[in-house]
Amino acid sequence: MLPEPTFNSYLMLSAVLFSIGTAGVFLRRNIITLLLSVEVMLNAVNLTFVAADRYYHSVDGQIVVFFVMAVAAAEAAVGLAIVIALFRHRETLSPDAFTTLKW
Amino acid sequence: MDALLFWILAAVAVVASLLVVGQRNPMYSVLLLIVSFCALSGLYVLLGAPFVAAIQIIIYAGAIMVLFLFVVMLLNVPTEDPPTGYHARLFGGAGPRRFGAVLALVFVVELAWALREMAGTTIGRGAPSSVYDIGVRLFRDYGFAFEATSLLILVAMVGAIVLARKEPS
Amino acid sequence: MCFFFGLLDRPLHLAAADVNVGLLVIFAISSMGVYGIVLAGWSSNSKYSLLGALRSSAQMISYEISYGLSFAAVIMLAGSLSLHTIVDHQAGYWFSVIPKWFIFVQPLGFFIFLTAGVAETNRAPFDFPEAEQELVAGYHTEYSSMSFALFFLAEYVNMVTVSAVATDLFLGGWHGPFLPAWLGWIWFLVKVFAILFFYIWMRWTLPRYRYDQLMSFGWKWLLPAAVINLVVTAFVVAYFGW
Repeated sequence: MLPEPTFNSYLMLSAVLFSIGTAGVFLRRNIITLLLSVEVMLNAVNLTFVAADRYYHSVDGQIVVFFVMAVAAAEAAVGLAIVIALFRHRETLSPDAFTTLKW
Repeated sequence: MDALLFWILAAVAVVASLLVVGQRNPMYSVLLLIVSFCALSGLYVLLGAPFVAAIQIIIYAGAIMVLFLFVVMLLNVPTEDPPTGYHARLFGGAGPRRFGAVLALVFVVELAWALREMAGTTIGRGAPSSVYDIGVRLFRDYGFAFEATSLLILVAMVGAIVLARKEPS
Repeated sequence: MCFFFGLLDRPLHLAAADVNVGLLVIFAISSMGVYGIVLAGWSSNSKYSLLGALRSSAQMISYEISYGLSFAAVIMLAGSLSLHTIVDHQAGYWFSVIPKWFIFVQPLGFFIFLTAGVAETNRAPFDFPEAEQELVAGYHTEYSSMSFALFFLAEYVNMVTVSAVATDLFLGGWHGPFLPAWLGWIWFLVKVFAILFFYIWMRWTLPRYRYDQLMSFGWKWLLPAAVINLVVTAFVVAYFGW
C-alpha cells in the first residue's frame, strides 16, 4: 500500500518542482522556455501555500495563491510583449542574442 | 484512495515539469506545462481547496497558457538549437548556468534533509474551505493588496500594449 | 446540469454532482476547449489552419473576460457558486405574473453572456476560426471523416453546454409556470432548445463581422458594458440588498 501523503510529501513535491523550474531558468536558452520555467517555480510555491493552509486550517494561503496568479498573469503579459518586441529586432529567442542594453 | 491519487498526480506533475524543461520545441513545453497545471489542480482538490483548483485551470491553463501558445504560434518560434562546444557539457557553460544547475540540486538535497526532521506530520482533514470564507478574508483583510493587484494588472496591460506595439512608421 | 427527470412518477435527481464551486468548474472546463482548436490548427501545418487557430486563441481570451464578468453579476445576486442554489433563487413570481428569472434583473448581463457565449463557441456571426470565405475551413481544413465529425460534435456540444448554463443562470432553470415541479425537466429542455434555436436563427440572419470589428467590439464595447453591469449590480446588492 502506498504511504499516506503527509504535509512533508507536499513540501517535498513543491521543492522538487521548484528545483526543476530553477534548473530550467538557468539551463535553457530560449526566452519562452525561461518564462515557462518561472511559471513552474510559481506553481511550486502555490502548492506550498495551499498545503500549509490545509495544515494550519486557514485560508490565507489560498489568498496568497490568488495574488501569485494575478502577478503571474501580469508577468506573462509583459514578458511575452517583451519577447515579441525582441523577436522583431533579432529573429531569435536565444537570451545570448540580447546582450546589448540599447540598439 | 487519496494516497493513490496523490502519488499519481505528483508523478504526473514532476514528469511533466521535467519534460517542460527538457523539450527543445517550445510548443511541446507549453503543452506539457498545461498537463503539469492540471495535475497540480487535482492536488489542490485533494487539499480541500476547490476554489484554487478551479482558478488554477481558469487562469493558468485557460488564459496564461493560451497567451503563451498564441505567442509561440505567432512567432513560429524556431526550436532551440542543440548546444554545441562548451555549452554541451553537463553543468558546462557560463558561470551562472553552472551555478544554477548546482543550486537547484542543492535545494532538493537541503530541503530533503531539513524536512526529515518533521516527518510523519499528517495533513489535516476536513471539509473543503468555502469560497465565502476566502471572499470575506480577501476583501476585508487583504483589501489593500487586492487594490494594489488591480493597479499592477492595469500597469501590466498598458506596458504590454506599449511594448508589443509596432512603431508607427 | 441538474434537473429533475420524471421517470414514471418518481422524480429522479439527475445532477451528477453539486460542487460548491460548480460554476467555476464549468468555466474552467469550457476555457480548456480552445486547446482542441488551437492544436488542430497548429498541427495541420497549413497557413489557413494556423490563421484559424491564432484567431481562435485571441478570440477566446478576449471574450472569456466578458463571459466571466457576466457570470459574476449573477453570482452576486444569488450569493452562491452552486448551480442548484442559483436556480432555486429564481423560483417564484413578482406580482404573481413575472417569473423571478435573472434575465429580468440582468438583461444586459444576459445579452453579454449570450454574445460572449456565441463567440466562445465560434458560431456565426463570430465564427472566425473557420470562416469559410476567408480561410477555406479554418482550423479543420485538413481534417475529414471522423476527425472532422469530432470537431463538429464538439462545437455542437459546446453550444448545448452554453445554452444549458444560460438557462440555469438567467432563465430560471427548471422553474416555470403551468407544470408541476416534478416535470421541471420539460421546462429546462424547452429553454435550452429555445436558446439553441436562437443560435441557429442568428447564424442564418447575421453576416460575419470583420476580424478587427470583433476585437474592437469585444474590448471596447462588451467589456466596458460588462464591467459597468458588474459595478451597478454590486452597488445595488450592497446598498439596497437583494
